[in-house]
Amino acid sequence: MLLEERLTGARRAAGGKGKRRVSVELDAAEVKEAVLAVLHGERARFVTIVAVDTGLDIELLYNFSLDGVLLTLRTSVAKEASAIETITPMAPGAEFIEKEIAELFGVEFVGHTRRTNLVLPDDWPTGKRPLRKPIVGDVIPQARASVENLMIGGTSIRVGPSSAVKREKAGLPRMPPLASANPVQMQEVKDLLIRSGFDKRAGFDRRTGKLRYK
Amino acid sequence: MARSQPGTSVIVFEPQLCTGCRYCEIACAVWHCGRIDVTRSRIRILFDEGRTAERYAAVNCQHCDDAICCAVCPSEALQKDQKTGWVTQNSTKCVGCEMCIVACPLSVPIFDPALKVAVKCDFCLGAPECVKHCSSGALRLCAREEAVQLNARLYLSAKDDR
Amino acid sequence: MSAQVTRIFRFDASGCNGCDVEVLEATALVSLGELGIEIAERPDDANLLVVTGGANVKSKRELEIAYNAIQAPKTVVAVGSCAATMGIFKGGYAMAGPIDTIIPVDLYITGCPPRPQVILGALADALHLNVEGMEELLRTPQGFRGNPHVDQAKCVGCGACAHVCPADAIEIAGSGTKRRVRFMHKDCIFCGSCQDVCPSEAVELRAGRKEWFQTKEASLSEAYLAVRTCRLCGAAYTPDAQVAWALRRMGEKLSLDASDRGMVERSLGICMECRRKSIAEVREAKRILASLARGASA
Repeated sequence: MLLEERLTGARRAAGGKGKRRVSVELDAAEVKEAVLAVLHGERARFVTIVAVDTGLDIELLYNFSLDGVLLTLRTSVAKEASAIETITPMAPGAEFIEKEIAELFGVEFVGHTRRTNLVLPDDWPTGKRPLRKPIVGDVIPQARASVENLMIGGTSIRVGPSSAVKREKAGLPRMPPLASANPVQMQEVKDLLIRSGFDKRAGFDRRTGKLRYK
Repeated sequence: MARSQPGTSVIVFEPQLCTGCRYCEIACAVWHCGRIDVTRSRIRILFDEGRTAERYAAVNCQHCDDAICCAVCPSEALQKDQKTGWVTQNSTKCVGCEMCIVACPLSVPIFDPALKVAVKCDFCLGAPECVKHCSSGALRLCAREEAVQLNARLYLSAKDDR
Repeated sequence: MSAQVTRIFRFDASGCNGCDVEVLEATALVSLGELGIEIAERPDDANLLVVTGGANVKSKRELEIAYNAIQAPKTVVAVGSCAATMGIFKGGYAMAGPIDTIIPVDLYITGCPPRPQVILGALADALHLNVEGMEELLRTPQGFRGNPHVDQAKCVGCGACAHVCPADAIEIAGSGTKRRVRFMHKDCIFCGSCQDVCPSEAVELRAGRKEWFQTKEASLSEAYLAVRTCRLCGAAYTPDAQVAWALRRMGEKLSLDASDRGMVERSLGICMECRRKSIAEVREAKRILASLARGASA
């Protein structure tokens, strides 16, 4: 299918109700190219963008009508770095919805040209985004300390002060690294954590090496 | 040296505004322990009717820059978050040595006998309950720089008159 | 006892087999025959009963039968924490008591499990065996755990070890100006949590010179701390060593000038209750913190 060829790096998700909806998951960086690919298909029409605050991220669903079938390109941006390229040059109808999402959720659509507010009053404080909730992941408050230990320190149990000093004297890092010294096993554990979404649900940002919850 | 980045907020207490209603103690206990047990509250209000001025005082965490409790904690359970200015606690790292309780000049942390760890104000991770429920505005959020000036006025220049 | 042959019958009263493995290893370290020791296959062939594990409801009767069967002069050696006190299984629904509540015990070898070298040393001592030239064999190699030993010079008396000990083997005692931290080897399960959490690295699990005693209470390690009294109310509150440790840490991690340090040190001279009890003291503490904050922001 034309769509399969053009959408590089896209992962197919078994989504949608019945045959008239198709859902594709993408990274934010892949969206622009995917949108280009979709719009070059026959009888393709941009519908709208839906934004959802999922606690740790803002999920963006780009909806297109492809000859009566609703195609949804799903992506998400982290709240700490919520920026994505605008698709307005390719789909002019996106201008207003992108501005609305920017105002209400605080997502930056890079390259968007509209300066004045569309839905919010002109004097609305820029830091305040009405539909954007504080960063709260699925980790319950009581578990946060342990998750912190696990993801940053390496163990979910504590390594006491004396043991930390002994390790230091032996030339080891104060906290033992996650899982085993066997690199194959280590990779397996990391893959498992990613596959199960633990890093997303618990909100561990590998880029900064920190947990992402308020 | 662990200092807060500019623009962080702290909780200030102004004794002259306090009415001794204890809503802060109740709100803190309910938030952290789910029940009205003020002995589990991380803020305590004192009342001394024998005094002529400032009859109320609060024992509450100042979330100090270069915090003494963080310096003495042997297990790195207490940390200064420079981005928010909070002194946070990780109860799974705490060993219950009570070094923080001994070393803090105000002895702010309290020992939880059930969990056998020290606990203290954690700023309710952003929206302090005590401030929310203070009926007279004695407890409020304010910029750290302003708070330092306010506390200097309250405690460094004023003479304590009983 | 020294002239005749010692025939050992080993009885596992309910143990996890940890001590049993170490006993077997001990008997494999030496040539038993040369020391005048044999392993008996039945209690009535034995004159020395080596017991591991705390007794449970099923083994209690069997233990009594075995003891009655062994030959005079009957000698009983209890190996490990379970035999001495039921160890970590204290309060277990099937436990019937430590060995000495069922039969008389002559020697306790403490540990969980004790090292084979310690078991051998204990047997050699009890049986007055000639162990010349066997010093190497009786020395526990480096790096193996043994009973917890507390360094008097390093202990600050904070009690973190007592909070974390799962076997209630650590006792903090004393209400006045003296505090005692006592590690009771008869209860210790060698988990090492005390060593792990100690803020001042004062606890070490290492095999001592002699880890066997005729009374189980004799096997212990302790530290004594002088506790300071509150300048205001006179109550004893914290060991001097703990305050000294805190001040030392402050010196290492913070940059306090002499007057700051003096202020803080002075505030630590009153007990934690007094610091939070009177408005005058709360004001004073806030004065100190305000002064440090102003110095920090300057």
